Amino acid sequence: MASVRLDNVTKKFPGTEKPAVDKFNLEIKDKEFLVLVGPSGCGKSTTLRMIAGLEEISEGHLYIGDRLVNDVAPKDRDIAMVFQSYALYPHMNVYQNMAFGLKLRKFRKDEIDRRVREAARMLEIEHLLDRKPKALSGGQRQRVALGRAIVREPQVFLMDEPLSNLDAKLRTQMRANISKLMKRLETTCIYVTHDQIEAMTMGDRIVVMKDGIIQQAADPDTLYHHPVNLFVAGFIGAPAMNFIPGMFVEEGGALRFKAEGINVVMPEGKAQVVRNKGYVNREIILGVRPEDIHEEPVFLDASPDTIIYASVEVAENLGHEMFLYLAGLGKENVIARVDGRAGIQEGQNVKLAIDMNKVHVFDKDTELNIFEN
Amino acid sequence: MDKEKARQLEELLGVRVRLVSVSHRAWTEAGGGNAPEPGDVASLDRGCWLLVETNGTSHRVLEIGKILTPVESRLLRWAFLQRAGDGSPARESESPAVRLGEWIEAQLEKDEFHAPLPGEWAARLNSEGVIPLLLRYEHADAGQILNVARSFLSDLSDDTLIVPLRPSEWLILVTDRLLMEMESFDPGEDGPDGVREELASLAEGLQQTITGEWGGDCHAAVAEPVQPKEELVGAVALLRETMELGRRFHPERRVHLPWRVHLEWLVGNLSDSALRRIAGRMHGMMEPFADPETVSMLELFFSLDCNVSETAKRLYIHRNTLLYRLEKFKLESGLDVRTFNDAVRARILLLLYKMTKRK
Repeated sequence: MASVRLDNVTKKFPGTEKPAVDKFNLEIKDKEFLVLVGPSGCGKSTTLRMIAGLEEISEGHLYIGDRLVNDVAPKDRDIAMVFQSYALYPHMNVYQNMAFGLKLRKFRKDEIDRRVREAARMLEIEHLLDRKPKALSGGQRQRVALGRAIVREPQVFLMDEPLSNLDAKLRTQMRANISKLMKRLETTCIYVTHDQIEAMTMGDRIVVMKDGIIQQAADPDTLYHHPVNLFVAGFIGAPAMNFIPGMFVEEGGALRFKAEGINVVMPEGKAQVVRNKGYVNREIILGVRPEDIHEEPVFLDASPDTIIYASVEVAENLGHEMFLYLAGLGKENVIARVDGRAGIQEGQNVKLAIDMNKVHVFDKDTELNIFEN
Repeated sequence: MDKEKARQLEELLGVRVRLVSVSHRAWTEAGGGNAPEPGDVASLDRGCWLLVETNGTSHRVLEIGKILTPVESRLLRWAFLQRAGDGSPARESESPAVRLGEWIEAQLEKDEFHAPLPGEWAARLNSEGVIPLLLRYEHADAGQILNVARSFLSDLSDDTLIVPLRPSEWLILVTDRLLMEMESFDPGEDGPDGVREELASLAEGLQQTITGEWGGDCHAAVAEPVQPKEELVGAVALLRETMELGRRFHPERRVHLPWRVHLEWLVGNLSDSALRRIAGRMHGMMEPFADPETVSMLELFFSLDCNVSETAKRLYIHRNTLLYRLEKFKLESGLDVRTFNDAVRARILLLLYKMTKRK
């Protein structure tokens, strides 16, 4: 069993008032691929370093399996690390780099050889075993770093932005390789990234962090469709969710959302929640994902009560889809994602419709999603 | 002795056991001897201190929540003595290394940076160049850590010399043939930058290996190869200064390199009066540096040769966002760091700010 449990784990650095990680409570299941994601400085790397034993825990308890490991040295925690700033040992070849950790632990030579060769086979770097790091490409070095961790056959892998030093294409390729590898090894993995796309594509479960605090921990689908607050909603998804400040008012027997350039009807199911929670005639923030703003005639005809008019300030055509930066709706640009064949040009005035069944409503003060809390 | 062993001792003795640091004065006031050794005991009201390690002015002790019986005292003292003369292969060869360390310290006190090596070492280290590494790591299990360092440099372990200097500080000397072990290394082709890159990788590898095993705060510094006959003392002085400057001006770094702290050396060696005069003249200009995010952004920008795209990528922000922030800094400080002269001024001001903040 290799679950990891953090009970109220807190990290305070000397000389700072605010904790870098504040009462972090999480249980990571055996074999789970858990991703910690958030902006720079949110505490995700500090959390990982505490799990690794590289940072002391100021308060709280950390368990790996059933064992309390707060004061256990990293080498005795049965973990293996792949960090962004990994340094391959320049004077050792790939084989020696991978074998070094086992050699320190006085493994037998035949066992070291077996593990190194098996890991090299998995990573497709058998042909590189005699090479020194200087002769390797970025992707190859990264695989050797992974190999150093794999040979340890740990209970838990800890990875901190291991793909950051790779170019975009290689990063995409290695992302898939790491996911496949972790599934094959059936080992718990805790992975830190700032990249929400990496998080969404790799994680069984994702923990979104901000200012040292967990904002939401859930599977990718739940995070995307049911964000609990403004921060999570804005962090997950690319392009980011549109946030439009406005107000709900009762008009003509329906609940309408009104903002600059927008006057649309809320579907009755969601409208009832808005009323019950007392948000009529109160300022709120409406969240709309770019893909929930439509230009197709079929949708426009079916949703006459959710039509909006805007001018296209910028049109980014990616081929299969197009991003429209719209003016005239609220203070900031609203972004719509439409079909690449829509043929919409910059400067054009467009008629669109919002899928109000998919919108989110955030309390202006608490920033909580009123449908999820 | 680490916290895990303290915890195990706690289980054995059935009372609270903590690893703490105490001053020599507190030790003697508690009845401990004036020249204590590991295993010595000083009594407290409801417990005792058992000495683990000392550097003369402060002591690492186990604070035990009971008065030890004579048998317990003797057993623990015996265990410490065993550990002190234990099976770490380093021990047998340490006495000459200890003497070399003491000789180095004596020369440093006299500022004799070019003192020739004493007799027993002159022959041993005379034949070729060595790469000097300085390691600082506060951990009671020094023997184990040094074994890791030896294993790390194992192919040449016969030529690896570990010299204890101050408490928790060691000088590691490795033959410069190690550079040849790095594939494709060609001093003629690679030049000084190539050598420095390899040395930096070596120091980082060693530092990460030690930290990855034991955690804690380990610092390493490495210099370019020297001829030990007359350059050893100077190398130690350089490494110490590099590490001090690195820890003062760049507390986030753990590996310190002499070729990266030239400006820091200049600013760090300003007299107090010069510092006060400059700080007075530049007072208003230093305010933008009070924001830690601005400082991080600038340091990264400078370290990446003022490359906007690379800096934005590393900060995980859009290029335009970075340009906006640099523009904002320009309005607040009057310095456009995208121009060479202003970038130099900003770098120096940043170092001055760090100096004045500390004082």
